[in-house]
Amino acid sequence: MSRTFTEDEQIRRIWDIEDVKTLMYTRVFYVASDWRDKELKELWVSQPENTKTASYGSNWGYYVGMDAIRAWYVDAHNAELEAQSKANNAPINQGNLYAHPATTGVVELAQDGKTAKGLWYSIGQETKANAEGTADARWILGKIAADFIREPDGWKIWHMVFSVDVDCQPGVDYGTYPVFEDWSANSTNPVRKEFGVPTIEMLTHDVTFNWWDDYPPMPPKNYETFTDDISYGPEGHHYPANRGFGAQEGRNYK
Amino acid sequence: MSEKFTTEQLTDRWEDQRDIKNLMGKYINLTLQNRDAEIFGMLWAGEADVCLGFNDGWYVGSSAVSSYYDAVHDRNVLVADLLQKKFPEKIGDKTADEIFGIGTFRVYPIVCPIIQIAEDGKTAKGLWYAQGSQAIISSAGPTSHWTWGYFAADFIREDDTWKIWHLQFTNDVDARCGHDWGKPAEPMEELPEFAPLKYFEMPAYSVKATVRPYYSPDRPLTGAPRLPEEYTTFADTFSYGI
Repeated sequence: MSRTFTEDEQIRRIWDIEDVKTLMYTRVFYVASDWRDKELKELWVSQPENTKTASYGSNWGYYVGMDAIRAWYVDAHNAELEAQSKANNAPINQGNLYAHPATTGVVELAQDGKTAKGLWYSIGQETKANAEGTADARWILGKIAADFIREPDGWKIWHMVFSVDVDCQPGVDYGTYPVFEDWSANSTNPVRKEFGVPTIEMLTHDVTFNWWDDYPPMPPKNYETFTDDISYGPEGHHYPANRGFGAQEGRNYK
Repeated sequence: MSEKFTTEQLTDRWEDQRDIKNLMGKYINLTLQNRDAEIFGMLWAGEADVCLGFNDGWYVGSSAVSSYYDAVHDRNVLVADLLQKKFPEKIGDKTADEIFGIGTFRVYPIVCPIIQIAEDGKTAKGLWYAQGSQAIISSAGPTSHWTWGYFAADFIREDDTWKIWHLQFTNDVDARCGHDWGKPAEPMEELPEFAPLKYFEMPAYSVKATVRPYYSPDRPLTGAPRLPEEYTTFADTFSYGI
């Protein structure tokens, strides 16, 4: 049941949704600039009660808490850039390109106006220079889902999931990729490798065979107030009823 | 942001933002439909200092900017004519109007809008990401490309209608489909039937300058264009023009 809002409340709610979209799109441009530290400082939660429960998830689990997110998203990334720079004998980030534009947005603002949920699709790519003087490019396609929370200085990212559907080399038919890939932390898949060893290791979204799961759940639904059950953080993860191979159904199940 | 404004102002500003999104949506759709010749008159401001930038230069002033769109139109006429000559049995009996636009497909869907409307309501700024594709005819024949880039623009209100004032369309990548943009591209062989395209020249830039270097493995990291920021009046902010 939806609440009834005054005209003033309605237009302010409309702008809340605009602000949430702008926050997510600002992140897209920060990612393109590789401003990871700035992203965490400006766009993510900073209130202590929220930083503890903040999370960044992907197919292989969740980093939980801003300290863990920063240690992976900023520090480990910077260490990789240092190693690349040394191997290529080139300045940091030379020859690198990051693009994860967000489209097809669905945003729901809680009836109580304190939180919001959003889901986008991203057809993106990352290109990284190698020591041979060329670069390794990859298409990366996936869903970006996030919970947002209102803090004293505005809307902030609280929980985020980047649920990767496809990663492949440009010019290569991704239908020809091996069916089974090693999704463990020892994987040589560059996208999996980059995700490292998260706080909670678990397979949230299995793309083997294009298995038909529904994680993250989509689209977000109208809701009164935030509860853990609907979180895009680990506390809200449910193995979907429709688990593709596990349920012996879904695309490509034989 | 919303605390600064009354209910009515917030409503007006939301409509302004929507109008600006629609303005750029029209720009993209007119390009897709090869209606480039209509773009300047329909969407651009009458200001003397309008400018249009691409990766390697700027068209500055009404005459230069409109000459760019006219040249795109003229090239499309030439492409259609060459295709008609190549396929006389299929389209030899068509008029120039009937075949206009064949051979050229350019789509640059724009996403991730960051829009700021000046507090005084007279100007606005916008930044979009554009992952596009184009299938065009070159002097080597048909070729298709993926593009990765940005649209960044200043807008000005004229007679209560938003118009484009300064516009940049710059790409990081403009690479042939089916080709890895991290690796060197094999040159395409020229085809005699499309040779006239080799000699077709776009108008010279008013200012030749590197607005944004194309991606290469030795390019320093080149971040997104500067994001629009809240501002009071245009004199208080930066310009997406030259």
